[in-house]
Amino acid sequence: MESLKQILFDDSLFFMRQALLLGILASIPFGTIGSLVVARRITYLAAAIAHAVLAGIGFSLYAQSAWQWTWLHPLVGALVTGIMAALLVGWVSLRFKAQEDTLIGAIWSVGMAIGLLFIFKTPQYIDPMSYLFGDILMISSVDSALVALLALVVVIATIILYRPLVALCFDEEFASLRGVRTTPLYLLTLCLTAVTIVLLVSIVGIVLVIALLTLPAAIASLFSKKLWQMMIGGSVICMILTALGTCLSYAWDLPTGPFIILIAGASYLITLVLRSRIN
Amino acid sequence: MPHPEPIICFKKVSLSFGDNEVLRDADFDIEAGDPLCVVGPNGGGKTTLLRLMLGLIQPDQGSISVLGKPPTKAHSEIGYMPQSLQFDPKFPVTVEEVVGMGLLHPGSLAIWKRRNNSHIQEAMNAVGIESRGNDQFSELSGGQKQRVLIARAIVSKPSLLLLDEPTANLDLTLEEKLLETLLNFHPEMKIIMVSHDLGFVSSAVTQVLCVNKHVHTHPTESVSPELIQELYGPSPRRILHSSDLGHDHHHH
Repeated sequence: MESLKQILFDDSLFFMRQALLLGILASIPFGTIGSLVVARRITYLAAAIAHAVLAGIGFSLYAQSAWQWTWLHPLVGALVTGIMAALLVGWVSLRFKAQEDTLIGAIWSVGMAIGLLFIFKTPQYIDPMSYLFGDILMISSVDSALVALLALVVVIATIILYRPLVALCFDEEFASLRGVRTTPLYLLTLCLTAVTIVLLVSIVGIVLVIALLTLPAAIASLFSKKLWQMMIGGSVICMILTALGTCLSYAWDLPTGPFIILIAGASYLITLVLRSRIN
Repeated sequence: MPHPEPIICFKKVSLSFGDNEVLRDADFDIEAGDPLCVVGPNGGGKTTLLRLMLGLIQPDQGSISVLGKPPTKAHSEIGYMPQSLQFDPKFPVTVEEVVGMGLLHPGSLAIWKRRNNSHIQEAMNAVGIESRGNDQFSELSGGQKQRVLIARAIVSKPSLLLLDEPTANLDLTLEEKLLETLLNFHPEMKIIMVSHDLGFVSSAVTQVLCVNKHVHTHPTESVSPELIQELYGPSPRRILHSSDLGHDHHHH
C-alpha cells in the first residue's frame, strides 16, 4: 500500500506511474484478445507472433542508430512486424495444416534471430534483455499514448465483430456456412492479437508476454458462461495483476516483468485448485 | 413454396480423396416434398454427399445444384447439423447463443436484434430445450447438445435442412417424433438426413438414398433385405427382423 502511494505521488517515480498506467490501459485489450486466444486455442500461434516481433524492434533500433531514422520508434517497428507475422502465421495455419507445427516454429525462431542480429549490429549498445524480459524504464509517454490508441482500436473492433467472433471461435465451419467470412476474420483476430502483444512488450518483454495474454483470460474462463464475461473478467484480472506486480516489484526491488508473470501463474494455479475443491 | 425444379441435382459427380474413391458418377435429382434419408455403410460417402450439397468440398468431376444454384450460393437457405462438433469442452457460450448462431448472415455484427430472440425461443421450444437457454452449452448432456444443434439448424426456417445422424444421441421421446416436430416448426422445409438407424428410417421417411460409392434413390417400401445386403455387404452384426423394411424396425 505504501509503495502504491509512493508510486502515485512521488515526483521522482514518474516512470513507475507510466508503467502502472500502461499496464492498466493495456489490460483491456489483453483480457479481450486473450479470451479469444484461449477460447480459439491459438496460444502457440500468438507466441510465434510475439517472438517474431523482435525482428521489427531490432530493425527499428538499427535504423534509428545507423541511418538516423529517428521517426522509426521500436513500437512502430514491432507493430508492423507483428502484423506481418500474424498474416504469415495465419496463412501457414490455414494452408499447411500438416506442417503447421514446424513452420510456425520456424517463424518463431527466425523472427527472433533477425531481431537479435540487428541489435548486435546496431552501432550503439543495446541490451536485448530489456526487450526479451521487459524494462519499465523504457516506457515513455509516447508509449502510453500509442498503447491507449491501440487499446481503443482493439476494443472497438471486438465490440463490432463480437457475434461473428464467437461463432468463429466455437464452430468455424458453421460460421462460414452462415455467410461469416471466416478467413479474413481469423486473420483479423491474429492481427489484433499481434497489436495487443506489442502493447505490453515494453513491460513484460517478448518472452513473457504470452503468459500475461493467456493467464488472466484462463482464470476468468473458470467463472464465465459467455465469452464477453470472460473478456471483461480477464481485463479486470489483468489490471489487478499488472498493478499489484508493478507495485510489489518496486517495493521488493525485483524485476517487474518476471514478477508480474509469477503472480499471474500463482493466481491461476490457486484459482484452479480452489475451483476443483469447490466442485 | 415448393421449388419448380429439383431441390438438389447431381450430374455425374465423382470424388476421390487421394487413392480412395468416395463417389463414382453420382447422378440423381431430389425433388421437393417428403423427407429423405441417406443410408449406406461407414465410409460409403454419406457425410461426403452432405458436404458436397453444402459446397464444403468440391467434386473432382460433375456438377451440383442446390435450390437451383451452386451450393455455395444457397447457404442462406440451408440449415445444417453436423455429425460431430469439434468444440472446446470449456468454451464459454450459452445454449441461446449457440442457437442464435443459426441466424448469422453476411454482415452480422454485434448488434443483437430483439426480434431474433423470439425466433430463438421458438426453435428451442420446438426441440424441448426452452428452459436451458441460459445454461452453458458445455454443461449439457450429449442428447441435449444434439437438440441444441438441431435448434441451431432450424432457427432460420431454411428451405432445405441437412441433418447428419440426428438421432445418434437423442432419447426416444424426441427421436420418435423428430420429423413431425421439424415439419411442425416449418412445413415447407425439405429434410434430408443421414442415418444409420434403419428402424428410424423405415418408420419416418418414404424415400431413401442408398450410398456406397454409387448413389441410388428408392422408395422406402422397395428397400428389400437383398438391397440392404448389397449396400452394406454381408455383416454378421446386422440383424434383420422382417423381410420388408417398410413394415418393421431393423437394427444393425
